[in-house]
Amino acid sequence: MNLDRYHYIIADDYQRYIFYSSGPQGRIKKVVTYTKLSDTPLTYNLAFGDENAAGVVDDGVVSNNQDRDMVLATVASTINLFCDHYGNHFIYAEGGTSVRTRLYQMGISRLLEEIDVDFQVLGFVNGDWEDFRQNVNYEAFLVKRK
Amino acid sequence: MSTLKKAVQGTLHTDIISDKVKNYAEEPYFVKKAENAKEFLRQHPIPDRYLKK
Repeated sequence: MNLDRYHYIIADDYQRYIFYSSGPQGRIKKVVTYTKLSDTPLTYNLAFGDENAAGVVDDGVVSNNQDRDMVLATVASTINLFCDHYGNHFIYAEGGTSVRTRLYQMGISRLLEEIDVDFQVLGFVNGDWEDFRQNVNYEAFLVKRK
Repeated sequence: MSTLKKAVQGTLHTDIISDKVKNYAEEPYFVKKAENAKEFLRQHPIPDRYLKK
């Protein structure tokens, strides 16, 4: 993928990424982290949130910084860097709220044609995992680079 | 910034690798997210049909 995105600061273990959203609400620090969930199959969790001035991270807030697509593209781009260093394994993601999960779903849908070239995307719905389809409200997602 | 080690190559983006990025391993938000994810995948494991691809 080669979408407009923010520059980021990458931790030297490639498991933590920092970038700053910029818009009407000002400059908002965003943090992306990867955490290993299991060895068999090797699966990582992608978590993403805003860090406030006190250093507390949360994703319950709606930043409303009018840069949703650029933020999602930035988060998505970290997957490639992470996979470059840790291999092509399943990466789990869900929003902290149903609204946030739906936001992710819409972002994936908009970019699906481009994402599908390089990534296998699964969604969880009705008690099962399936290949991601547009216009389906998923509870969670799994992504794996091909 | 003294914390910056080097820039990642690329013509469109100038990203920076740093050894000073905060360790979020104990951050409650991320700990909770990982716990929730583990539990979700324990209850709803990835089907074999996707593991064989």
